[in-house]
Amino acid sequence: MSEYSIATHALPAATVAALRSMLKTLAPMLGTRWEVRDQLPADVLMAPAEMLARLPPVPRHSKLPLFVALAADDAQLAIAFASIKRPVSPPRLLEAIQAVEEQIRRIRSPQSLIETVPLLEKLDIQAKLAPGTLDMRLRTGLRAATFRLLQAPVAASLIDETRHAIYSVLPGIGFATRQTAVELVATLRANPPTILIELSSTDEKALAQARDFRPLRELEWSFWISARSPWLRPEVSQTGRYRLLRWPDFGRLPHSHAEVRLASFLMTQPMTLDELGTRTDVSRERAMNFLNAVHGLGLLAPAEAGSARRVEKPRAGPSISGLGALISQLRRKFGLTRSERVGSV
Amino acid sequence: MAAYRIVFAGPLGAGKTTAVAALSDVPPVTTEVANDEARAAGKETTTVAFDYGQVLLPSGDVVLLYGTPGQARFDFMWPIISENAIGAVILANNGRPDAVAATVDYVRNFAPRVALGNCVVGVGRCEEYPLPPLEAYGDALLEVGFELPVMAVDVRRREHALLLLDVLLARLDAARRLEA
Repeated sequence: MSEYSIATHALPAATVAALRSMLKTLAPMLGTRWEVRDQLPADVLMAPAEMLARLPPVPRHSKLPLFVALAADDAQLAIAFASIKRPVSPPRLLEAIQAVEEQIRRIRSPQSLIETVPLLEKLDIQAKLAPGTLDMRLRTGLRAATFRLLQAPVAASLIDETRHAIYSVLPGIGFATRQTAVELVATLRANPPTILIELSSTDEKALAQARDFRPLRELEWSFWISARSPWLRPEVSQTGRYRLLRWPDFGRLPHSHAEVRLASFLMTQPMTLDELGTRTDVSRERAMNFLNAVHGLGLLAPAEAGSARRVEKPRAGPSISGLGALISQLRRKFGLTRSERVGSV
Repeated sequence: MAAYRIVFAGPLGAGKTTAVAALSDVPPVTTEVANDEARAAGKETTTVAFDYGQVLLPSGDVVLLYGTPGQARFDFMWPIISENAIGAVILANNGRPDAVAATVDYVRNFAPRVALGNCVVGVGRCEEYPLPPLEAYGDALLEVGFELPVMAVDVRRREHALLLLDVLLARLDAARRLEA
């Protein structure tokens, strides 16, 4: 059974016969997707332009059948989705067929170009989304889509089920979002269903002019820091001892007191993941998120890295041994013990 | 009742007065007069002695907040107001051409005077003046032997003043716990 059909109206029998013959000729390009019917219903109604001209000139390109006019000249009729200049030839027919085929697909199922993959609650780090899946719209979870974009950025927008944009990415430029850094972290954490749409070059240009972009590393930080069921990225070892090369710029990255605490310990002394969680009283999951996030910033290094650096030993100053109570009081007073995120944006 | 100090240091227009005011429990004392260098610093007034604020704690202890005078001619006061300080917040203005070098100088002056050399560097106006990048501060400090946190901040936002305090406290706490 054919996928698409053409019905004709008021065409000479010879023209209809020629139409059938041409479709067979075009089989290498069109396959056997098309058939010619004697009457409606069909996807396409082909008729002389002068016949279609008698109908109200109202475009009806969003419903079937689509009208294709056979015309004596190149004049376009409003009501016709496509026109073929007589005499009909295989190239002219092919051009019209390809145009209507695309439109028919859209009309039949507006979502048909969206490939749905399961909402991924946990993306296996080895199971990368195939590059080919970004040739169309992709329905998946926000975290899976973000992970894919961080691996290999393409110009894309992510929209939620209400069709509102969550963020957009332009490779080499960054990402843009109307959300604050803290809101974005919360959204990533919630991992809502999302549709990833690859952008055309026109869309890219318009977006680049309309929005301010932030570095992709901020998105990467937000992605890793927000994981609920984190896994350690393969570049980071469960048992390896790490140090921070420098402090993250918490002035511009969403963070909580826990991340400040983790950074302070890892800057003071190299640690394994287990040690980090134990010594800081921060949960293992949070410590894992932190290691993943700072690795993404290029700030995590094996313990022996940077050992050649000369760092000045602090000279004698006030003793710190009795400062525990003071530190606790100050933290409580200013709310520096809370786990909710603060951000700079 | 014990008294501790935190010092806020940095050049003109770096935000010392604002940072002290953000944390102080009492209206901070600010000694400002018309700035005879207003055109250069973009400020109408400048601190000629120091900023002073207080953080009052339930135990009765108090943390005194001192903002150092910006002009070099008041540097004789620096050792006095940083005595027994638990940390120093060095504020930089990324719009100044000498921002990195000035920061290094301030760190050299204050780090030896505070507990554990506990300093944090907050760089302001990074959105308007994206260069030099933050890494330039970190690299310059590392070259002279100081490994310190450097962050982009806007101390007009209270959460950034709190961030600087949080980092100071976290460094002290980490050192204290890891020593034990």
